Amino acid sequence: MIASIVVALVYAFVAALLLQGIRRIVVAHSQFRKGPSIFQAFYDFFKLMSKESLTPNVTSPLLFNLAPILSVASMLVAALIIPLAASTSAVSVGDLIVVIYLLAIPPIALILGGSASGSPYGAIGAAREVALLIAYETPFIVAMVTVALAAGSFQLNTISATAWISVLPLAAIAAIWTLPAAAAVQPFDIAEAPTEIVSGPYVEYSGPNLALLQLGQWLKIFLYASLIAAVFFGTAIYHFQPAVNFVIQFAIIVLLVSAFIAFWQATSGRTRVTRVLKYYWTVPTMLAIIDLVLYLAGVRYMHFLFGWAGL
Amino acid sequence: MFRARSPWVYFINTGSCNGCDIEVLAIQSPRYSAERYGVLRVGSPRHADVLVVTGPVTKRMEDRLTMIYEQIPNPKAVVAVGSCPTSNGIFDGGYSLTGPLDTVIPVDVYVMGCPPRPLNIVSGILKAAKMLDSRRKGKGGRRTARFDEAMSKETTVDLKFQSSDNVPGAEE
Repeated sequence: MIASIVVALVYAFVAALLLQGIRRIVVAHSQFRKGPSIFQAFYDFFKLMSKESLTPNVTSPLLFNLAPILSVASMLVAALIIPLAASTSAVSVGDLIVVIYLLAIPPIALILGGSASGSPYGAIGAAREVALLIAYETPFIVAMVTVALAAGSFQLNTISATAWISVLPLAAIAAIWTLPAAAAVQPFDIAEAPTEIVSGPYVEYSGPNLALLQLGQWLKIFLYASLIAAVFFGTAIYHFQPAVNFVIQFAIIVLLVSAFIAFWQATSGRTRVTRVLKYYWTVPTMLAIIDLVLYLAGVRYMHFLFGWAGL
Repeated sequence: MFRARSPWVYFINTGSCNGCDIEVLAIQSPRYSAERYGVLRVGSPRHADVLVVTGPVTKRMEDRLTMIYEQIPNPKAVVAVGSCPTSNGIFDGGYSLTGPLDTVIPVDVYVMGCPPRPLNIVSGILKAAKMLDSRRKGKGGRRTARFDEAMSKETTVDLKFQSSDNVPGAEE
């Protein structure tokens, strides 16, 4: 059990940082640039860890310095509960509800840190982060609850035994649709907005604090994609050697992130704050609710449409 | 070794004619693509490793420049881009200048030209980033005498959130 915990933590750390390198390369190539090294996130992380940390005078120092640790700690716990490249998770104490709450903690850490930093930019960024969080959590939670109802359990190990995209495709679309907002990249980087409110909640952070805050965000992107992969694509595909399983899972995550985060990021500008709420509460939420209602009404439309294929 | 590979850059214009700023912007374009060396433009001095300065230092910008320099966490490096921060360039002798950049803050790399070519600017940033490797985190908090002076006197730079009645023209 200790071994599986260590493997899960190390895999989550390495994969989350590699994923950022890959994302930046994909974005750069979409814009006809060359892009940084695939290990760029490692360089950035260890460079920031080796720098000086400044705490502004006007902050509440406890909250300001606690927020980055909170962000990373919650993500490390989530890495143990979500099944990563295996049929079961590293520890079997948590369920889907715990994971959904844990995935909301890095934004909450940003909100706390931004509000505590005493900077007007931090306060604006924190307010925007709240709007963003409310916007994308709604369709995501409705989709996840639909899956949990269909599976008859909130235990992730039970849920991920089936590839739910073949039963509830609309819920899968709604959940995948929230990926770019959860990643807080270009169309939905309203809370950070480096060119507008100089990185928002990050503005007063420097050195190790900034490194941890960013690591929390990077881990969140990786684990969010992992949760979607585990729930909708199932864990039945991981029946090979452990090393092969890690490669398969990382390939799925890279595909999800490249297609739904990086390409979108490279080809669009930032949207307005008010439009994000309208955007996520109309089509994605409706898709998830349609699937929920149809499932509760007993309509198995995938079976009706593709019954000949054995679904 | 990590510092040389991810120099995060903060740009500041201290009275430049904008020629150098155009060339500095060009280093992020697909043609020069500074991101392939890990160069990233940041919006807050607290995130930065390298300070890139264009233009001669005007009297208005002097306090702001030292304040921004002090806000960059150690280790840090400064790149002077263009003829102006090196020698005041064509503005030399102007009534509104307080002299070339190295009389205000310590400078590590000078990039010459009026304006310099974008690849030279990239090369200057990378040279400054290499210097960061040998610097200690705690050491070399090179606080300038002018910074202490600026902090002690009643400056026009107020970092606190200004109320609307301090903003000129807010009465209308």
